[in-house]
Amino acid sequence: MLKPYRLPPMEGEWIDRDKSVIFKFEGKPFCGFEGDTMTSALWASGQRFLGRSFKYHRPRGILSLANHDVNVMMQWGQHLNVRADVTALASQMQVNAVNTTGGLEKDQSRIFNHLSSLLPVGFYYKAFHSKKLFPYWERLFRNITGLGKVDLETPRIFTPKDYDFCSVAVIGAGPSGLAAALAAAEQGADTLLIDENPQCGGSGHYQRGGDNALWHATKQLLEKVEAHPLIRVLTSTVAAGYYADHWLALVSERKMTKLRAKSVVFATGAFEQPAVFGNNDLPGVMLGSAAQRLMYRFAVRPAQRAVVLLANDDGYRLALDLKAHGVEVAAMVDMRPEGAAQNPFSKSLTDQGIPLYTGCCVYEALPAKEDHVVGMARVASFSDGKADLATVREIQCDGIIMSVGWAPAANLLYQANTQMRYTDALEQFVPGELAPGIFACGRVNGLYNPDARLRDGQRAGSAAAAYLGFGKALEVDIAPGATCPSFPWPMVSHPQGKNFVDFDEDLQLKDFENAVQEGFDNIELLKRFTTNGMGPSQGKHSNMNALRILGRLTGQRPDAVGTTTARPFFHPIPLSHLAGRGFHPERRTPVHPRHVALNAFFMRAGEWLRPEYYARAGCNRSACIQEEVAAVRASVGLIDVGTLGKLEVFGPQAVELLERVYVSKYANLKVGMTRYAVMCDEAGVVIDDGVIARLAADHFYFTTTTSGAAQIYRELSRLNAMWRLNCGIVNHTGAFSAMNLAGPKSREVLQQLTAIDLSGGSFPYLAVREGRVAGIPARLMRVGFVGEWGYEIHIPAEYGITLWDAILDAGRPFSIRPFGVEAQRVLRLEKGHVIIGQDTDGLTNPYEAGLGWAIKMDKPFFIGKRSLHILSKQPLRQQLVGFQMPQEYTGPPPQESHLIIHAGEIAGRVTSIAYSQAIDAHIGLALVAPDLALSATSFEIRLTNGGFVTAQITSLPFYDPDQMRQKESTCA
Amino acid sequence: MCVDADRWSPIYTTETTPAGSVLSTIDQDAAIWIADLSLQPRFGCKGRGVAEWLGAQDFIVPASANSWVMTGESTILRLGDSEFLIESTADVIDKIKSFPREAAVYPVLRQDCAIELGGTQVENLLRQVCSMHFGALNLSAQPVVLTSMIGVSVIILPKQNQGRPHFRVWADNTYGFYLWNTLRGIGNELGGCQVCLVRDSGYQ
Repeated sequence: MLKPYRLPPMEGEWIDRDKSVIFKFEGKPFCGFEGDTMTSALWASGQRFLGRSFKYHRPRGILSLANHDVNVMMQWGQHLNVRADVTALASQMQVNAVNTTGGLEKDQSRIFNHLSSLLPVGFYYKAFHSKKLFPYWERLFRNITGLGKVDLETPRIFTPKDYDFCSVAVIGAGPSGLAAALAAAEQGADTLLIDENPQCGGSGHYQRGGDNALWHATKQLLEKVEAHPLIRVLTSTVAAGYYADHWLALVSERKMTKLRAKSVVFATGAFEQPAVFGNNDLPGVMLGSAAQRLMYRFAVRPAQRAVVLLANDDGYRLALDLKAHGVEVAAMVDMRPEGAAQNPFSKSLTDQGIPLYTGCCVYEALPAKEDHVVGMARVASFSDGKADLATVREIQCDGIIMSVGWAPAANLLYQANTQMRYTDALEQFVPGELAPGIFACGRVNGLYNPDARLRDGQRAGSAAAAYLGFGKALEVDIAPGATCPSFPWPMVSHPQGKNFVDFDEDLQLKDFENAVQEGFDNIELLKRFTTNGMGPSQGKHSNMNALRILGRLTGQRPDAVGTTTARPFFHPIPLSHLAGRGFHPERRTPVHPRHVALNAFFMRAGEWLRPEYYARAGCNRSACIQEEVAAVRASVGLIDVGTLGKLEVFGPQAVELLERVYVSKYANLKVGMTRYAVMCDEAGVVIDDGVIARLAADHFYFTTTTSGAAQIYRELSRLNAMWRLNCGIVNHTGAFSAMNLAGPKSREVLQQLTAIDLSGGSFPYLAVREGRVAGIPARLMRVGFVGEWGYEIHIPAEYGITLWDAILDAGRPFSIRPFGVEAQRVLRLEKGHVIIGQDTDGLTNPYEAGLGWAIKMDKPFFIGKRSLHILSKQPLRQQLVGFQMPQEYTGPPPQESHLIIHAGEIAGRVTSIAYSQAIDAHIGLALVAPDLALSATSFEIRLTNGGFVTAQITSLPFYDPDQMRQKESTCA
Repeated sequence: MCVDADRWSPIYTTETTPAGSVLSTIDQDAAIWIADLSLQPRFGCKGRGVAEWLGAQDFIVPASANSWVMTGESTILRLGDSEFLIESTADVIDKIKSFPREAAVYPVLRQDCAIELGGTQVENLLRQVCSMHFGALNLSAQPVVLTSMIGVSVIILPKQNQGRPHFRVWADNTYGFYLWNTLRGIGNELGGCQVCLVRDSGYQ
């Protein structure tokens, strides 16, 4: 059985009548066909009240049926703000209108419609600006306005990231876009044709004027496009943003694609614009193109008896379409004076007895009795934006269908730096100067005649291909249209208002008048004060009318008023698409499987996964860490330091490179020895540290911080290229596995695995040796990494596990313990070792960090030298000091970043803190004001709960200040 | 000495590959196939004098930057102007590693994660993980691409075999697990990712 508004089968319809789809709207069952959208299926069933407006909760129906407005937004389970006009019907779908309290019909918030005079634009700026109460008002307004409801249980939706490439991208697959794509491909360019609709053809499919000729021509063109081997077609894809170098953001249902084109043809068409009159938002008042889409795409009658409000020739073609499909056209109301209305279409319609009122307007629409949808149009003579109420006549109807003008869909063109100009003959902005590689055609170019659009498409497609060297640009004569497609003032004043300019934000004509009166008389200010164009439609139906209003109120031409900035994206994009799949690179050291086997609790350190500590049955985190610390101090421990940056520099000028980039001297570093290294930037800020080992006169191996390796390698490579030194740098960070064996028993453990003489005399503190450990070629550095006798062992990554296993086996008699990052932090803190990036910040220089001793100002040059020279003569801005909590203190310890307060002022902050078994107290480092560091013996730290605790300033290091742990006697 | 490669190359460390599902040959009709070639012997070197030095060792050196040549069992990649990556048999690689270091010739320890990707959906896969337009490359020029894939620096060698594209990818081995699992995950979304065990000889 046909539904009240479903038409008989239509040539080119998108629905499959053999496949019914059952769904529910607001709890009531409905039936549509496969190919229907939610809106078309509901309309076909006679359900024309489809949503409520954002602010006043007014009933709404179809406006554009084109994904250009948000009159009809639905909540579909966890999917919110679903655009029903363009969302395909799915079986068993259960949807509700968004933004209602108690359902669509009984929405309790509809009271706001009656309070609208109390809620003009900007009322909240003026009434609710109290700082104290603002959060309350903000929450209140957020709750009573708004769109769909977020279900916080919604699982994360992973959408693919995607790239695509083509020579010529054509945006829009209407008649001009199809012609452009074909012309470009015919000249040999691989072409990508993109359209937001599920099927190509654009207005060539639905703007028929009661005649199928244009549709047939479009269909033929489409068949050629689909058959062409050089053309790919992407449908249901919105080109939502244009970026420099012809990058386009293409948004489809599942993903966002970054398209890199070599040239772009914008065949984006035009947005039909609404007329502004009283109650112009009632369900049943819709754009002409929406009515045509309903009829030709979905075989749905837009109304049974309609008034056609028009101001261009398209309006008469619309009337022909309506008539052809059984809609009774109650009247045609042409806003233009009589002379402009005469054309062959209007004559054929009036000959059929349809009344034509020229120089008239719809003054207001009135709802049908006890219904939400339109039931009457009040038509009156129209002059200078005003209706002559003495001439009002009432026309019964269930639809008012508008065709009064267009605005170019030029958002992407603006983003592509196109200079637009206003043409009086068209009452439209058209592209003036286009950037290289950018082309435009069709309606966006101001061409509305079907033949002209096809020819313009050919011209643009050919030129885009020729721009890339494919063939020669066609020279095409294109005649401009004879009549103006847009009416310059489709707006009718109404004393009661409710004549809406922006349907998203419920903005009425008087809101704009009030805004200008208050001084917001610039297009950008007007936009922000009224919020015009800031809703989900992004001004597709309101910006042009707002511009005309402002122009009239300020006495300026439209081009003098100008347009607001069209930023990407001009169409809302789901956040899931922006997030994409979420690539988070993760690095694992070669020994990772062993950490897993040892119950490591992992933490992320930059990209790296590192063992924070090794969990043990019956021990909490703190106990595990303290046991690991104790093992290192008392016997021996092993830590995986494979995450350290590992760089190598070779060549006759290798030492020269290091001399220039580090603050210390390396020319005098003996082969077989290592030295601590600090790197600064040009401003003298500490940016990295590590250890440099000299393996040969022309060969150095050095470490960087875990997080700094890639940047330091890149910077050194850049400097080396710039300085043209005779040396080469290699980044071996991932190629070497590294582990640190530390503790008084470390030598005994290691000696079992190597023939290298590990005695203090032969392998002294800070020496480096190459040899074999457990049969593996290795580099060994004797460094005081954690303040104990120890060795940093570097081997090729592929042998990492072998060495780890061998050391743990050899260490078993000494109760060796693997230790993690947290134990390492405690051990290094006890020695006062600075962690670059934690104990320093983006402004800390070596003097402040206590690293001034490393600076050798007698070198001819190193990066940062000039700045450090200046800084050395200035008072310090801050200073790193050690502090200790009283041993008897049992309260909550301070945490990193807690503030140090002195004389009521912020005097510094804690940078590191940990409990030390060796000291039996919490110890830490803090960056404090220099005078505090010099004169005070203690300071106050403010805790999270607002309380204060006193800490003693202490000298560094906390542990083994005389370096006794590096003496052979101690180790032995 | 125990070689650990078996224990850290991605195919062995991944937690999602059931051993029984690994093919010993490549299934050309799979949507995506992925092979772990991390154990292929390889050697790296860089420096101003490297091209001449390799020539003196009887290697054919690619004439232009970012290109590759294959001679016998050796594949030689020129990375930029003065860096080279050589994959060959263990004998060849051991021999070249044993040569003493010469002036302006600096050894690069290659401990790469190396994988080969192919299948009917491989181009779609690459479009999701890399911004490089591989379709625009002239494969007859034997190009090598140094680019970024899912946030990881990679070297890619694109090839065709009987009209079917496939890609060899080298990356820092510490990213191996992440790279392998991510590529497999996307491959599964594209119709299934078949893991192949192709060792030593590589897939030519």
